[in-house]
Amino acid sequence: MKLGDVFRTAFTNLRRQKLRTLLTVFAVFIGALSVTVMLTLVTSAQNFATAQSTSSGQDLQVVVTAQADIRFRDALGGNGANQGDSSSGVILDDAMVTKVSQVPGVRAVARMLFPQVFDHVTVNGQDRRLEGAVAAYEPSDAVPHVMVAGKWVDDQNAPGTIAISASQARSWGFSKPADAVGQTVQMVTREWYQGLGSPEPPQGNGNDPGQKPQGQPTTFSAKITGVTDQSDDNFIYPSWKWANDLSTQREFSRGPNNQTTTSIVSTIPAQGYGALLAVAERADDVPRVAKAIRALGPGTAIAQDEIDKQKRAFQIIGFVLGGIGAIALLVAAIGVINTMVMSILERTREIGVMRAVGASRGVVRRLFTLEAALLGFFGGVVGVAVAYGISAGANPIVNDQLSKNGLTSRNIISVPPWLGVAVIVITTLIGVLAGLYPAARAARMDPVAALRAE
Amino acid sequence: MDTIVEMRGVSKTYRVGDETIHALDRVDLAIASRSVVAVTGPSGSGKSTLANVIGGLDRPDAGSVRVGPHVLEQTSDRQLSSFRNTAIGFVFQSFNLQPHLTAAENVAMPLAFAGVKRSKRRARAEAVLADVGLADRSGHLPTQLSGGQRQRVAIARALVNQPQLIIADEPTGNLDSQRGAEILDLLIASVRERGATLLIITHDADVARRADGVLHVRDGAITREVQG
Repeated sequence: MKLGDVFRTAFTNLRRQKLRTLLTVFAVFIGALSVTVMLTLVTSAQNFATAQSTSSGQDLQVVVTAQADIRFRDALGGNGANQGDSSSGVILDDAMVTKVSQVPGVRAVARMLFPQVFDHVTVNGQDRRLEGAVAAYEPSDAVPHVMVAGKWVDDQNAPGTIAISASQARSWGFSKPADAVGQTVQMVTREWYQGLGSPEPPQGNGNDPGQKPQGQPTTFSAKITGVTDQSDDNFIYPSWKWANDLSTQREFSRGPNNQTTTSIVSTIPAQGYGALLAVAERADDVPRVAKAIRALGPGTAIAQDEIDKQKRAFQIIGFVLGGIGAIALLVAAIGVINTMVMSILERTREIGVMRAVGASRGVVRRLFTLEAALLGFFGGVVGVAVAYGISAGANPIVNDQLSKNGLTSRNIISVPPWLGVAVIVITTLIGVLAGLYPAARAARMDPVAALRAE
Repeated sequence: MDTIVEMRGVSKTYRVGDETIHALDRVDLAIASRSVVAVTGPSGSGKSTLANVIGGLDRPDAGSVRVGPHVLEQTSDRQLSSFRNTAIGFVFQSFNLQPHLTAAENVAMPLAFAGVKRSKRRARAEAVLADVGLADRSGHLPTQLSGGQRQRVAIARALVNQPQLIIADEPTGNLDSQRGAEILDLLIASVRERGATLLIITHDADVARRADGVLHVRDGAITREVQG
């Protein structure tokens, strides 16, 4: 019997039992849909994490920290910086910048500062505790900043300008990132702040010669120039120049005549920069570049490690969700077996006639296996098609949420073509496997007994 | 006289519970080519088993069976299936048409198993249906046909591959006497026209009278051979 005839006969037989075929295909469809949707969510989440890192250029970045073993995100928030001294023994000074920039594969190095001088912020007249990191980037073409509204801080009009993360904008009560752009907030320093911009202490009255005058909180007005695509952390990005000013402390002292003398003390030579951002030529180079930089003494943090961790977490979730889907497919397979066994019992006489007019056991086996395979195939095709439909329908909703959360990524839910093909192949194979026993049973039938069946 | 069927010492037993039934008991038999042979005998005597063994539907426990050039006891399932497909045409008492296929599709079924192209199958099925007087019924489903018409379709199906031997098991058993006579006429005429052999299992003495020879079977043995 020609293959085309086997297919045609199998189709015809499935069409004869429409309801049973539909119900069995439906069972396979549920399994295929759940596997496809669950694995799509996992792969989409993985791709989203990678895309976020790529679009922000983080896949090329190595954060060079004074402290070792700091996570990438924490390092970008200043957690790896020396606190008040060079406690780690590593100082990220200009000499280190030179060394890092000479590491093969490094395209550029940008300095970072994390001025820890602010205590709280007044936004629209409301005092808010300062939550999140204050991080400043040395302007560099090699370090992109993905904005969802406005522009990155312009060093020309510093001090008094900041960019903020979308999450920060939300926590400050702006419903949309764009609402924050152009707004001015009051940033209030801690009491001890005596850096540039703080008022000088009043001249002494002669009662306390030699005593250091106390500082007092200083309020800076800061205009928000833009909002970055960064939803999960609170960040305030002062301009580079302003961050340098904020890192430049003044010391006041009183002379014997009670006059105040001011000396400028920058924290940078003692503590070094908060971090350095080394930008690699290629993403593949990043681990090697990080290793080479570690050999110079400082710690490093790369986004790849975090993305890998996220991917591993998603993989575990994927295995669990895929397992649930696999159980659905297993149930569907039992449905296929049931359908085929029922079908064979009903068609016993028909099988007898086929055998009498020349069908070999092999032909009967092929015919019934193909019927089962088609049940799996159709279930898989419908499942994958509906999964595509769901992703097309869900993307506008997810896009809306992403937009509200200040993320530039769009259409993140997509069924990978390999997954669609794999699910259809797997459901078809499940159909074949589920059909093996019933088909073997049909093929083994004694034609004489089958012809006598009622 | 050349023979189409030769059986030597053919035995076939069945076990039903504790009882062993000798459906065929050391049967020796020769059937002449291009003859019409009736097989008669009481129910359970082994008539159908004899027909099934000759037709390659059943295998004997012992003995040898030759049908034309085919020696059946040493064949694989595939060879035996091919033999049934090309050398034998079965006609059953209860027609055994596939209910979901049209008359033409039923007739064309053996051609599909023979690997004949779809376009040729259709034409050949239509031609044989015309031979049995059903040219205008080729697109009908079995449920849309009378008993006599269904048996004509079954005869067309048996003839379509131009087999050497037609085995008809009580072909008129489900028909009234008039339709039965017509079917018998058609069968005999078709077989003679094609130079084939007809082995017809029957309880009907009238049918047996029209045969060239009669085999009487009792308790699995051929008790009488009558040449017509």
